[in-house]
Amino acid sequence: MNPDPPASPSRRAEFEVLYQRHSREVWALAYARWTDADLAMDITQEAFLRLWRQWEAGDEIQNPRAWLHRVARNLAEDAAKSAFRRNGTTPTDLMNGVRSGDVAPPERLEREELFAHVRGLLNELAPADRDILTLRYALEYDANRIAEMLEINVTAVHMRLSRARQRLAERLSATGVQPNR
Amino acid sequence: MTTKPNSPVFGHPPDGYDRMFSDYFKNEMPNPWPGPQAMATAEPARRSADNGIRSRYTLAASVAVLLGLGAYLSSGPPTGHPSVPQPGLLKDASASGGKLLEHAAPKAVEHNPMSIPEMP
Repeated sequence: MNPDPPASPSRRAEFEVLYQRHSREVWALAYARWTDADLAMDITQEAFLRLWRQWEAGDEIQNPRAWLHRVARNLAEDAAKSAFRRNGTTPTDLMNGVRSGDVAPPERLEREELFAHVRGLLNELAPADRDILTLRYALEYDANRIAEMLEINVTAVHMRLSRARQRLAERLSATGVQPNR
Repeated sequence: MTTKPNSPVFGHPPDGYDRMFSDYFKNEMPNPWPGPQAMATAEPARRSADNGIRSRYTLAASVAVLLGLGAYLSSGPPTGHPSVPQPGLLKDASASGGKLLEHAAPKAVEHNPMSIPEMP
C-alpha cells in the first residue's frame, strides 16, 4: 500500500528514481527484440507512461521493475503487429549520424556501415542471444545481474553469453569483418 | 555492480570483438539519455481542459455570427440607405426603354386634330 496520492511530490520523486534506475534495462529488452533504438525508446517511454497511469488510477504495483519488464516485452511483441512497426520509424542510421557528429565524415560512414552490418547479423541471432549481448555490452551488466534479470543461473549466463558472442564473431568473420587489433 | 566489458570477467581477455560489440551497443543507446515523458504528458491534461472551454466559446461565437449574417441576408439591407445603382444588362437601359428605344423606333408623326389633312 502506498499512501501517497499519484501526483504528490514524493510519488513523482519515486517515479524519477524508478526511471533512472530501470529505464535503460527496459530499453535494452525492447532493443534486443527489434534492434531498433528509436522503437525501443518509444516502448520504454510507453511502459513508464503506463506505470504512471496505473499509479494515477490508484493501482498498486508490488514490483515495478518486474512490471515494467513485462509491459516492455508485451509492447515489443505488439509492435510487430502495429502499423507503427509496419511503417517504420526514423532509420537508426540517420540518428547515428546525429549522435556521432564529432567523428570525421569518412570515418563516420565507415563506422556506420560496420554498425549496420553488425545490426543485420544480430537480427539473424536468436532473441535470447540478443538479450544477453545487449545486457552485457550496452548496459555492462555482470553475470550476476544478467542472471537476476533473465531469471537464469550464473553458469547459464556465462555459457549463453560465450556462445552468443562466438556466434556473432563467427558471422562477422565469415563476412570478412575483422576487428581492429 | 557492473563490470566493464574490457575486463576478463567471462573467462577470456577482451579482444577486438569485445571492443567492437561494446562500441556498437554504446552507439545504439540514446545519448544523452532522455528523461521520463510520463509526467510531462500527464501535465497537459489540465491545459487541454482549458482549451476545451476556449474552443466551446469560439464555436458559440462562430454560430452566433453565422446566424446574424443569415438573418441579415434574408431580410435584405435596412431601409433609408441611398439606393445603390444596379448594373443593367445594356448601357442606358431602363424600365421604360429610355434612350435605347428612342434610337431604335422611328419617330411617330405628331397627330394634331385641328390640322387640315393634306389632300392628295
